Amino acid sequence: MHSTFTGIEMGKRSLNAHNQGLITVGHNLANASTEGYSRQRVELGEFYPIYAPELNREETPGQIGQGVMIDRIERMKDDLLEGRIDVESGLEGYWGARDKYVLQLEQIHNEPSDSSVRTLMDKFWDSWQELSLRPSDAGAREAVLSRGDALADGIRDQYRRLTDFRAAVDGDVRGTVQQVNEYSRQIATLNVEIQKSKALGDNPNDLMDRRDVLVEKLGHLMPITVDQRDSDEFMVHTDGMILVQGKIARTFEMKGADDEGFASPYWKDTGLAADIKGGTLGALLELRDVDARNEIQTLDTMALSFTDLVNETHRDGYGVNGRTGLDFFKEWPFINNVAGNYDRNGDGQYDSTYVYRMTGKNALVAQEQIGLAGTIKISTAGGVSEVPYNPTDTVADLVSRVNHAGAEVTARLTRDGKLELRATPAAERGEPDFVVRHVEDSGQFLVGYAGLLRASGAEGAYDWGRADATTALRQDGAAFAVAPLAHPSGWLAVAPELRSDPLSIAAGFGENGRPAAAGDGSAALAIASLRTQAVMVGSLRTFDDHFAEAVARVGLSGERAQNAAATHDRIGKELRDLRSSISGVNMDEELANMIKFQHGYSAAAKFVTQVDSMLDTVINRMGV
Amino acid sequence: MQRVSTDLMNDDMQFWTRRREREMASMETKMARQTRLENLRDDPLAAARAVRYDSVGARLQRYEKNALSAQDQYKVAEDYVRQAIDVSQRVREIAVQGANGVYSKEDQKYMAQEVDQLLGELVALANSRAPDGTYLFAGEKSKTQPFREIEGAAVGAAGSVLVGLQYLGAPGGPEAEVSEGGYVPLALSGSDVFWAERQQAISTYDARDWRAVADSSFIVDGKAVQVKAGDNVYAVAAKINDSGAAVKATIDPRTFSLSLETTVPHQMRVEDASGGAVLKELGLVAATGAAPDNWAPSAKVSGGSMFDAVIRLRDSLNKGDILETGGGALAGIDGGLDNLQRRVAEIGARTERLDAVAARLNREIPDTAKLESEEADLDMTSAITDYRMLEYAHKASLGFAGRLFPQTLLDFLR
Repeated sequence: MHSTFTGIEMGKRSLNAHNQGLITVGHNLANASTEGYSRQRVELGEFYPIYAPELNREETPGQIGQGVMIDRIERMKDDLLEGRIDVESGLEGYWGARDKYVLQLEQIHNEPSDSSVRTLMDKFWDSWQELSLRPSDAGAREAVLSRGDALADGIRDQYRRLTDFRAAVDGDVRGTVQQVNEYSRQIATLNVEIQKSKALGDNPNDLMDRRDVLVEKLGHLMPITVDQRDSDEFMVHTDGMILVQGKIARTFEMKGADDEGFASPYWKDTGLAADIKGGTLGALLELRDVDARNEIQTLDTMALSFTDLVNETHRDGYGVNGRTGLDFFKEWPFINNVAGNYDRNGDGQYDSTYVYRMTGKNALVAQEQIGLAGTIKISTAGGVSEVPYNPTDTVADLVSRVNHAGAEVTARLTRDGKLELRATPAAERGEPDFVVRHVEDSGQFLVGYAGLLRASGAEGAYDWGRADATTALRQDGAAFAVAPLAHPSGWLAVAPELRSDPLSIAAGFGENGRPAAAGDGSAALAIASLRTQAVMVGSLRTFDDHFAEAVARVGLSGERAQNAAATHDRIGKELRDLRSSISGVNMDEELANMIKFQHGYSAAAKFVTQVDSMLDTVINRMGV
Repeated sequence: MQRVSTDLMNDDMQFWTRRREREMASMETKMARQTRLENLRDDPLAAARAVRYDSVGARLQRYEKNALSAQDQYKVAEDYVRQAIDVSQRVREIAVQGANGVYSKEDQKYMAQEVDQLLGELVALANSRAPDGTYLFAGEKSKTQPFREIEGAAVGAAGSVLVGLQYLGAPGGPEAEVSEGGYVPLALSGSDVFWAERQQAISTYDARDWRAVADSSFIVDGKAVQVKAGDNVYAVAAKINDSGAAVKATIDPRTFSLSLETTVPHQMRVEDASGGAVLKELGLVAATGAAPDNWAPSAKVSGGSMFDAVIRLRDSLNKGDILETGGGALAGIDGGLDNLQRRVAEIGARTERLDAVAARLNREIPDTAKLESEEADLDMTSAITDYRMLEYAHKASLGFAGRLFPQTLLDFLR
């Protein structure tokens, strides 16, 4: 038998429950536009009925319903979908960052336009052509000088913009690492609160929403996966390592700066290098260490090949004032040692030889068959490449084979037919750019035929890893040039002695060791023809190839980034739409619920009033 | 999708509107800049090609400039050479007349006077300058007067007259690039144009037992000839003949000495490269001096310029030597005239080549520009229509959004 006031009690419970439903509807409506908010739903359940199966229960038919109660307030969320969104965020972050930053690299090229380095170089060649027509003309020399200046300025400017870009990306890397650390800490803090709340049996919906937002933001910055198998310990992994485990947040620090001052992220607790390949941070690291570095190296290669070739020809020519042996372009920080000796580990002893270019003694003919057999070994990224040759090969065959060996040394025949080997930038970060690291020939081609090395075989090899390595070269005519220490494109300038006297600019080669006549434009023509000759700009044949390739490479990388960013943007949007479909607030739905709860509330109130009037009958009208 | 949240429509609208606005902005920029490549990524391969075409276009324009410049030079030079032909023809007429034998010594002296005047005119023509002040017939030594007059006494002439001319110019002219790797000589050398006879240089050294002791080289008319240790004189002669220079080397079968003869009338220049001594040893050149004034005193050198022939004529007329007038002097002038005519033909041939070059460039330059334009320039028609389509879609979606969003249950609740 139930008590007199059961009805009121039941009515009160119903009022409470519907009130709570209304409040939750209000909460949902209020947060309809809150980032990361998941709609909540009050789950109503029947209150414990009487009687429980006990011996002292009353002998009436049961069970008797006792009204409604709130089971729990749940948020509508699909955790599986959330995991996919976290992964997708990483890709979105990666490609989004690449898209944005590669665009800047494209803009640095400034192509196709009338003010790019390429156009400046075209104008430079053009001025040499003009000088070849009027070799005795001071005006034509001034034009060569000013266009040389403009080109040097253009190359330096492009170098400066690239290094600025790289420094800016480095700043972003540092900022992003800080952000990652901050997010990890916040997630760990929230984990503690959520755990406490759960321990009390609550559903900390709003806290979990906040944590999900943070996890998604973190996922944008670096690739992560979330592990919720242990309901007490929320874990975030990156690259197989734990980033957040419950209340513990691991952080990164930037250290281990390379020779250009760029640090990498390391795990702060273990001190191990962190390998971050995705997300905004991965993209930034790649942009800084691969894309921007490659761009600078490409520009360096072009600048160094260009200055070396122009200088080489210019040195042989005579100015109208009879001066010869002058460089046209000046490169400042070269190795300050005629033998190219360099102290790499800084212990006060020369331990390596930095040589950029080496030229054989003998004049070769490209179409001639070598008539020798052997194998040339030249330095390649982190090792040596082998280039075999046979008696039936022509010199041109072998030169092109060396150039296609994927080595970091290129070969060409100079104007007077001598074999020239030049170094390219190094792919490995530990190896210096523009240094020939190894040249060896098991046969006689480089030795007797081209007149470069003194002896064949391993004992006669040139190797950079010791001081005075140039003694391996023929001492009676083989030539070499030392390597630059700083970025060649950053220091390029027209030689000051030409600026002070433009008449020193060479136009002619002269004849049989005599200075060039006033109308001799042969050197000017030879310099102008560098533009179209296969001079090997890095691994590319001509300057035209270089510029076209540079444009295509950065353009394609931009196109890829743009397309991938658009794709992942779409995928991300689809996933978020799906999430929004599950977790998002629908006004109509909420309003309908509101009406439902409103009516429920009214009905409960009516019920209480009814019970009240029943009690009124019993208490006031029975006339006891 | 089962459920649609209220935010979804808003997000969706924003997403697509943003995208469309970006496209519209990009298209606006392209139209403003008149290029279809706003950034390299818009079409990287087209950008790479456009960059190439642009450089090629700049280069072709330079070739055209060079070709036109060379043509101008030739026009001026040709005029002077034609005048020299006219003058020489008059000299030849006098020579034929003077050899007739009916003229008295006095008459011949008058003829000699006329020849002397014509000689002065020839020299003036040979020393003429281009409008930019450079000497036309000095080869590379464009600032040096090519023919230096040597005055002295001559038999039968009163006072000091021109007795010889020394060529101070250079053997070859500067070159201009008119196509990739294609060069044309820009100027003419006086030692080619105003030469009358094939020059001969005969050594008196018996080279039967001569052997080169070391590798070295010497230069014949600007062509380097490499000599290997152990080469004998026959090898040296063969190498000279293979060198591409207009010089023929022979070994006298009797005296075993080396002799050189030019194959077309021009002044021969031979010298040892620095460090070499082959020609010195073979008795052709002296120990000192630079070409062409370095012949060994023992070597016999013959074959002179047009001026030498005219001087010879004047002197023979002065002397009244009819045989010489009608013989050697006339032959020399005939040779000189032949050579002048050959050079005019050569200039004509070069001009023709340059005409062909210019005609080719006239076609190639617009072709390249067209290629570049196809890669990089915007097709305005399609750009405008595309833009209109975008604008239309934009308007429609905004209008739709404006009408759709306000409708919720709230509008119907009391």
